Amino acid sequence: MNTPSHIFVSLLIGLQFTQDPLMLFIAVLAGILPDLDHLPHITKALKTGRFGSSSRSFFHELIGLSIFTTLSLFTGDLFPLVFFPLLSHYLLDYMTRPTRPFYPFDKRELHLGIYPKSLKWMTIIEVPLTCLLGLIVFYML
Amino acid sequence: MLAWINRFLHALKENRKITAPDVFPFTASQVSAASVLASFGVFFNPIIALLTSLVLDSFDGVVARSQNATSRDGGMIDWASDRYSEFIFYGYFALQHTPLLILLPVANTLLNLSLLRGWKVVIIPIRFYLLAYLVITRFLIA
Repeated sequence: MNTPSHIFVSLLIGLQFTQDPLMLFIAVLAGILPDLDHLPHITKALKTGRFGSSSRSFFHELIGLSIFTTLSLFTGDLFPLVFFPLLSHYLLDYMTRPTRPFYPFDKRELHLGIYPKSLKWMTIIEVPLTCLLGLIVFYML
Repeated sequence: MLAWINRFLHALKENRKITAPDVFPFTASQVSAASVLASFGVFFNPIIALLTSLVLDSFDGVVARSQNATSRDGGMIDWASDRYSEFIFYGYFALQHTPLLILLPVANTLLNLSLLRGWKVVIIPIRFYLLAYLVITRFLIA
């Protein structure tokens, strides 16, 4: 999923637990943390319009989820604000993008087939969806 | 969906035997996806969500075999969907009881990865154990 969607979903999840802006910021950071591995691939993404599964490091797959989940246990009371936005990121990506869930142990690219693969249809669906998520967040704030 | 409707209508028009792909429009990986989506029902009714998720999870293999669409990729999607589903269920219960419960899906993920490395390990059916625990505490213990 695109980064604004991850931010909005993280905010929606964070708003279930707190209204504190700092806590919500932490939830957003946790929600977009896995996307940091895309930074070296930004130039390629700007040319092709998409990142692709090869731009996903192992932090973006199940092993990364396991590592970050274990680390979130050390956040104390912040656990729900860190874990659930993080989990939402992995789930949204798994549902909507070709992923390599068992990377680096298996490099197979998998796609569930419930979301369009073509850039055109992905854009047609994601732009209004992202705007809708933004509106919902704005309404809840 | 449109392709499925077309296939079904063609089957009727050509008066040929209706087979599973003509009747069931979804692929096995879409059934696996439904199993993960059903897991979100844990926030409403954990027992129903678990039952639905587990039934769909066992159904994806049936769909794949009936459509002659079994593949290694499909098996991997099944595994990955199971792991994500476990994180959803145990995430909810980690919130309700103790965050340490989330280590169970983490352990299962590591076991799954070990299996891919060729180690002889067994993936623990933690969703079944969770369902048993919920049923026992809800219905059998007063």
